[in-house]
Amino acid sequence: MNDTMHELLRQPGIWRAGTGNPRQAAIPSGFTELDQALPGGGWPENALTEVLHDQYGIGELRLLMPALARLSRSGRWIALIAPPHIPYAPALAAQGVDLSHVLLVHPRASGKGHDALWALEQALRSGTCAAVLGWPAQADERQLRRLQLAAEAGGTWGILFRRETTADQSSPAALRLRLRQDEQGTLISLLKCRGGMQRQQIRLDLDRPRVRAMPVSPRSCFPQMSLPLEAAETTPGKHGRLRLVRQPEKLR
Amino acid sequence: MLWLALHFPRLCLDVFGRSRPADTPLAVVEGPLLLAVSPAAATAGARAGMRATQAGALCPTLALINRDTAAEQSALQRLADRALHYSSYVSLHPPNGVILEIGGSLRLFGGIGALLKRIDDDLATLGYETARAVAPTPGAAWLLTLAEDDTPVLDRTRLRRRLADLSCSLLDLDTRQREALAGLGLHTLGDCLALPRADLGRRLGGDLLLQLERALGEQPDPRRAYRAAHVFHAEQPLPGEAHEVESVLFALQRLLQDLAGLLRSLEAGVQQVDIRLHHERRPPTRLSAGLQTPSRAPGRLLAVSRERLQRQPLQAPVIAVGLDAVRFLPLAPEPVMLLDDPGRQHQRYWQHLVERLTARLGENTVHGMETVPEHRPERAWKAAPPDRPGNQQSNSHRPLWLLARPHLLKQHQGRPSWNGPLVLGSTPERIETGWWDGDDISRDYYTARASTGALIWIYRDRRPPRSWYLHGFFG
Repeated sequence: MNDTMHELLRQPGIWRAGTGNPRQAAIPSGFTELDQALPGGGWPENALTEVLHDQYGIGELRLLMPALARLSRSGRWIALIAPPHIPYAPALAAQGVDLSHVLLVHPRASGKGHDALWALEQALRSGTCAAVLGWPAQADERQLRRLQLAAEAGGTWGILFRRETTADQSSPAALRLRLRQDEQGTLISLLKCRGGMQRQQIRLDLDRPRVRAMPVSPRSCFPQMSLPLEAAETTPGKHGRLRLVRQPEKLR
Repeated sequence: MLWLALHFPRLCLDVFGRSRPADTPLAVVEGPLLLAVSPAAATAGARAGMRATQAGALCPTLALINRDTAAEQSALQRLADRALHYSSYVSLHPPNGVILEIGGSLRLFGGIGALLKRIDDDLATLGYETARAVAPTPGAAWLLTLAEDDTPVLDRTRLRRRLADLSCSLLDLDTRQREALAGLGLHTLGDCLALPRADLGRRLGGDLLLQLERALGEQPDPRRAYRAAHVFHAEQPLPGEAHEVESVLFALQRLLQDLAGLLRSLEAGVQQVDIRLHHERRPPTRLSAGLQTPSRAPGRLLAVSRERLQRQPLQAPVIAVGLDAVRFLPLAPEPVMLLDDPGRQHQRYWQHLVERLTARLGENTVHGMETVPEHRPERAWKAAPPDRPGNQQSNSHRPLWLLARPHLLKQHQGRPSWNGPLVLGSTPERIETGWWDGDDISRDYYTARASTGALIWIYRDRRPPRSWYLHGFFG
């Protein structure tokens, strides 16, 4: 009897009235369809979110940008821990992120990624970060639980980027979603969603969020010339407007 | 004037003992005799003045340590540094006392009771056995501490009566004077004071009379004021070889408390501390721990030192820990807010976070970012110190991920391919610049859609061999 109960309670779709709070605090994602699907109307605050994806360049960061742009102006920090490539500052600024509140952490690659997990836990627990984005090389359930507890203690939104193969692994994260790109656009599958419906699929246009934060200093120090170019013979592609940025005459 | 005398009767032992658990049997020896014993050793039957061999027979686990007068002297200075927090007039009373004037501090600290309680609490954290007494003259205060009489004497009129009961053996006398006193049947200070002063001076030597008159306040008793140095060098010997970081940290915590005491008296903070780990027969290991902003909070310094020590294993067993701080920076006391401002608090904690991360992960692993007005994509951003408002020029035609090194793409029938054929966007962006520093580029950038659905940023080098490269992901 007891075992059956436990089995039942392990179902992610079932939560206890005492522990699960359907009206949990949430961070608006900036995408209407996503906010409607997520309980509380946004990303779960003070908890872990897992983004499972196998490809770079399918919108794994654009998905978070409206929320991160807002959080970066809240006075708390956005920490990026062990990113796989360079988070490119001009593009982040274009998405409205306040760069003066971004912290990049590059732990050493040695040590089996323990330093990255340690840094993640410190950043989550410190309470000084509004969001912590992490790319852990590997993490088992026990380590994820530590991170989830740290996120709760620090009141921080933790986002872990992991491979799709980890979808079968059990995880204490409040939200797990899988991100894919196909011919029709971006497809998000909610694999686990604490306090919400399970197994939803959402299509999003990541380049058209409901709200978009303006860059902190929109002025550019050099105007970008946009010239019609008759002689576009050196570049492949169709004729059209080439955005050209050129320095003064070469002196060589 | 009101004087507080602090006497550290077991200083020679406490300089060693405070870095190890209290229940260790420990004794300090000078020559063949025990000079002081720890409470655990006293329970086992060892006494000060005993021969070392005899004590060893009574208590086999007894650890014997040679007396270290230099360590005692430096410990006394550390205590005086701390006392400067409570008074501007602090005087050393070697070998094991500190005397400070507290009459001028009473109003600031809210009366004698509150002041003494704060000093007691402060001393309790340090691990020294302490006796204290308060009297209107420094000499009397010192005599009262020796008698372990801690009821404060606030009034000069009562001083004579309180001193009268004290034993003559508390005075600083030589053997001849002691014998003379015993021969005359004088046991208490009261007995001495009852005699005519001139006779007393002639028979027992002038300095005895001077000591008495100074204690009573009838003669001036100038004390040399202690001035704190604006550097901190201290060493804490460990009672045995330490193989683990935790035992080193325990000793380090004591040193950091001493440093904090000095910094508080000087209204200063430090931004870097240097830690020395001394080994047997090899040069010491030197480490330094840095802070984002000057601080004197021992907890914050300890947290950073802990991460720094744990970054690398101990190279050899440690026998002593040293702490150096040389650059003191002015640091006003933190204002206490009636309503705590959450923004300020975050401001404080992010610095602590960065310090801890840097201490564990190493220099240049934690930074912020800013944009650079530069057309070359690799140079259009740079790492910057966190929280420094820098350039934030946005460019919406740039990918969120940039590859640290462009990745050469294969070509298939003259078209670039990456995990299959690529579909190129129609408007290339030409970047041709940098000729002045020899690192010039000439590239046509395209947005491309891979067959996997990924949106990527590629370029074609306009110079031979005109190869294609992957340079970023629109993540």
